[in-house]
Parts: sequence; structure tokens; C-alpha cells
Amino acid sequence: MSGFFIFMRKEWMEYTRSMKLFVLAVVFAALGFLNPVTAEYLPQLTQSLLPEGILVTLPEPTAADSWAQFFKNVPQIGMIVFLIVFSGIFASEFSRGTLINLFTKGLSRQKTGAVKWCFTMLCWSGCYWLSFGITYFYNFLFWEKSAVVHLGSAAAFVWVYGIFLLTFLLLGSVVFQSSAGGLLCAGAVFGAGMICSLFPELKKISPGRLLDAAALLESSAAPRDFLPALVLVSLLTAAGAAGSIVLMGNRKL
Amino acid sequence: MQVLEIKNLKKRFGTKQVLRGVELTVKEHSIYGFIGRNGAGKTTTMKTVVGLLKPDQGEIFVCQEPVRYGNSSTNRQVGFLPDVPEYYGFMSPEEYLELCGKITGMDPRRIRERSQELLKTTGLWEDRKRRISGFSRGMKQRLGIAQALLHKPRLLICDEPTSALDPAGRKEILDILFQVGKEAAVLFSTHILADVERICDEIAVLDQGKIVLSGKLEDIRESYTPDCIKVEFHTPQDLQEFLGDAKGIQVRRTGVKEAEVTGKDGESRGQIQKRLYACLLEHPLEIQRIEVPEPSLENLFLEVIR
Amino acid sequence: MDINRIAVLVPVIALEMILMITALVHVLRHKNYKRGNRLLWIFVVVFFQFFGPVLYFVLGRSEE
Repeated sequence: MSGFFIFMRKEWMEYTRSMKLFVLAVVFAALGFLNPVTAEYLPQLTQSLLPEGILVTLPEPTAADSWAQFFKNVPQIGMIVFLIVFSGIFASEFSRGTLINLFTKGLSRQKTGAVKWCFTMLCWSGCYWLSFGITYFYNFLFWEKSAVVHLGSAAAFVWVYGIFLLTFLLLGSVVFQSSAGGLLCAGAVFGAGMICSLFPELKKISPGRLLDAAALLESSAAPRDFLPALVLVSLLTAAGAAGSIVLMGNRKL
Repeated sequence: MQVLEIKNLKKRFGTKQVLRGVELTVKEHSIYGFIGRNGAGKTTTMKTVVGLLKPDQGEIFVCQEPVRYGNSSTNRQVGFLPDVPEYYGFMSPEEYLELCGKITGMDPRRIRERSQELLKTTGLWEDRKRRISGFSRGMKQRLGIAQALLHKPRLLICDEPTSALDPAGRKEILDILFQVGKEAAVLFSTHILADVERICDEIAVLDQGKIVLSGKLEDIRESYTPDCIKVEFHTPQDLQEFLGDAKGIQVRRTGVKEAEVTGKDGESRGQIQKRLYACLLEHPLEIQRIEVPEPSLENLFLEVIR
Repeated sequence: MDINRIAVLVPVIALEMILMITALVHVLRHKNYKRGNRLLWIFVVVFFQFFGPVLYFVLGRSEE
């Protein structure tokens, strides 16, 4: 167990000293602040872009609009930035051979895989909930109310989806030993999920369904409707994580 | 006692048979030079010893304990310096040694003591707080030795530690290895023969996956020394006179003032020497030089890998 | 009312500035980059909000 924390500390040192974690934190915090702002000003902006004379009555923005922005921005911009920053977590070690020396000293190969998975997910959780918290409190400033229906479930589902996608980023990085391989793998998994959502029979269990926070917020779906997709995503995540740890153990260096 | 024993080690990569039965024994407190051309299998052998590669056949023992692939328990006795050492550039040498020590399971106090000691002997003390990313190759190589010695191993394995360095860097590394050799056995691979001549007690020559020559450096030198003596006279006339009147020995002219003296079949160098001196006493000839030619390691190497 | 509305943007602008300045200082204090040159990175960092600094720290920042 001690090897786990020793190596975890090394990862932490690497990501803080290279400024990567700092950059991610700033981006996710900024996204958090932007959601209510965009919700508030988007209608006015649309209005000003329309030709004069045409008047559209737009509903007064609410906290729900801010959350709609959150569930649009974080899974898109936030996720992409996060994937890019973490795409090198394995590749940088493989390309330079920095792990070889630690392996000869008795660090377990599987453990390095497990540490990297845990570290990625901890960072993702930190960034995601930071953004969520900021949006939550900033909404108060605008509308004196922040909570909306099913907010907790919607947020949790997107968070789980993030873990799922990142697991495949790591799996791809181990299999192809490159950051591009990881990004490609995550992209393929994301694409496959989207394609599944196109078929009515598959829609219920499609991983992409977890991103459909809008349906929850509009109350057109209940959290339990997401259960099949959640189970599938959890299983795939467990398999992907186990796969990368096992592969890491057998990797020729 | 034997620190390292390799028995009949075989390894194949794809269709290429890299090792064809390597046999090697390293004794305590010796500096062992592992010589071979590029691609002879030196790195493969060393990586197998530290458990980074799985042998197809054969056994390896470190301090009598068998080495198993993927299991690093024998590495408690071994320090390894890879051919191109790469360390985390965002750390300082002090931090890197701490990381290594912790992974090995050393206690914090001992890590501090040992790293202080080693940073001083490897000349990195002044740079102990600098980031490794700014280090030169020689500095990285020295840090490599420090990390390999951190847990006081009984065997230090270095893969071509001097190949990529300039003469000054090479000298530093060799001096450090020589010092290390007083406390632990050192096995280092190289293709630079001058390095071997400088510090090694024993050598092994690896060629096409087999050890073609091994033993104590002096013994090998001795056994490959030809049974002849070179004599150089002051003037060609002196040589002429000597050639005309040498008894009991065979003299062959090899230069204007030089000749090579050999005995009859099976005579030892000592006997030849006696006869030569007897001859020389009879003639008051002026002699410039008498020499027992030593085979250079280079000639020896080229001869055995032919 | 309008002043309030501008004030809400302050955190976002502040974060953007922090990120840009951190990256800019890093670009100017280092001579070697993994890819690209100084001019390119100054341009990227200054003109692409958020993405510029991210790209610099992932793709441009050198270990040396």
C-alpha cells in the first residue's frame, strides 16, 4: 500500500509543478463563473443581434438557464481541456522510460496503473465539483436561488460519464503508448455512445444518455430512467480500469 | 563468495537469437568489465539480471537467490544504472533519491544520510536542489550512480556508463566506479577498452550471444603474451654483430636496430631470458631497450571476436 | 444595476488574466519549447483566451 501513496505523491508533484493542475483549476473555475453570466446576457445579446424593429419576447432568465449552460459547457469545453491535459499521463513515462528505474527498485507495475487512474479521477472530481460549486453559489447572486429539480442526479451522471471517458483515455494511452492513442480511444468511445443514442432500442442503455441532463432538468425524464445506462457505464468503466491496470502489469519496457 | 551467477542464459527477440548460453560469475569486491560490440547482447543480459526481461532459458542467481522476472526481491542486493538514465525532470536530485529510497522501503533517516553521502561522492552536492531537467548528461549519469547505490547494494550493474560522455565526464565516472569497487562488486558493460584497462580486475568478452573469453585481466594478459623478447640496440652495427653470433636462441630481425628473440619450442619466457642475457654478456654491445611485449586489450579483443 | 452586471464578470476576467500572465511569464522566462517558438506562443497565449495558456502548458512547455 505504501508504494501507492509514494507514487501518488510523485504524480501530484508532477502535475502541480508543471502548472497543469493550476491551469485546469482556473479553466473550470472560470467555466463555473461564466454559466450564470451567459444565461443572464445571452437573451440580451440575441436581441441586439436581431435587425431593428423585430421584437422577440424572451422569457426572463432563471437559475435553470444557468444550469443548462453548465451542462453544456462543462461536458464539452471542460471535458476536452481535461482530456488534452491528461492525455500524456502514461505517454510521457513510456516515451522517456522513467518508470523502468522505479520498477527495478520494487515499485509494482500494476500499482502505477492504479495510481494513475485514481489520480486522474481525483483531479477530475476536484475540477468538476469546483466548477459546480461556483455555478451553484454564483446563481444566488443573480436569482437568489440556485437549486433546480433533479440537479443532484444530473450533476452526478455527468460526473460519472467523465470518469467513464477518462478511463478509456487511460486505457488507450496504455495500449498505444501515446497521448494521441489515448485521445483517439476516448473519442471513439464517445462517438460510439452518440451512435447508440440514435437507435431507439439502444437509447436507454447508451452511455451518451448520461449527458442528457436537460431531460432531467425539464422533468421529461426521471433519474431512474438513467439507471440502465448508469449500470452499463459503471461496468465498462470497471472493465476499462481493470484492463489498463492488467496491461500495465504486462507491458514490455 | 559469488555475488552474481549467470548460467546458460538464452534469450530470443522474434527471430533473432540474442543470447546463446551466457555464463558469467562475478565475485565479491571485484570490478568486472563486460565487453562486447554494440548489439552483442550486453544490455539484454543486464536487463535480465535486474528482472526487466524474461529469459527463455537459463538461471541467474544474485547472492545465491534466483532472479525471477517481474519480482524485484533480488534487486535489494543490486543497483542498476540503465544505459540512458531518465529521471523526472521536475524533481531535484535530493527529491529523486528520496522517491527511490521510499520505494525500496528504506527508513527516512537512512535515506537522508545515504543521499547526503552519495550526493557528495558523486559531486552533485552543490546542485542538490536544482531541477534535474537542467542537468548535463554527465550529471545525470552521476545521479544514476547515486540512485543505484542508495540502498547499499552488493552488486552495482552499469550499462555503458561512459559511452556518451566526454573525456572529463568519463574520468569522473570511472573514478567513482573504482571507489565503489572497494565496497561492492561492479559489473559494467562497455565497448571502450581503455576504460576496462583502467579499473577492471576481471573481464568477459561477449560476442554473438556467447562469452568468448573471461577471467582475471592479468591472467588473460599473461596467457596471451607471446613467448618472445624484443631487443633494441644502439646502432645497426651492434644488431648485425649480435645476429651473427647468437647461440641457443632464435633471433629475427624486425627493424633497423630491433630484433625479436624466441626460444626453441616449448621454452618458457624465463628460459629465453636467461639465454638472451648469457648471449649479451659475451658481447659488449650497447643496448637501448629490452622489452617483453604486452598484448594490448584491443588486439586481444579483435582476436577473440574474429 | 449596470455596474452590478459588469461586476459579475470580474472573477472571469480576473481568472483569464491570471492564466494569461502566468503563461506569458513562463513563455518569456524560458528559451526552449517542446514545439514552436517564442513569438508563436506569445501570440497564442495572449489572443486565445483560456485555450491559449492550456495549449502552451500542454504542448509548448519544455522540460528543460
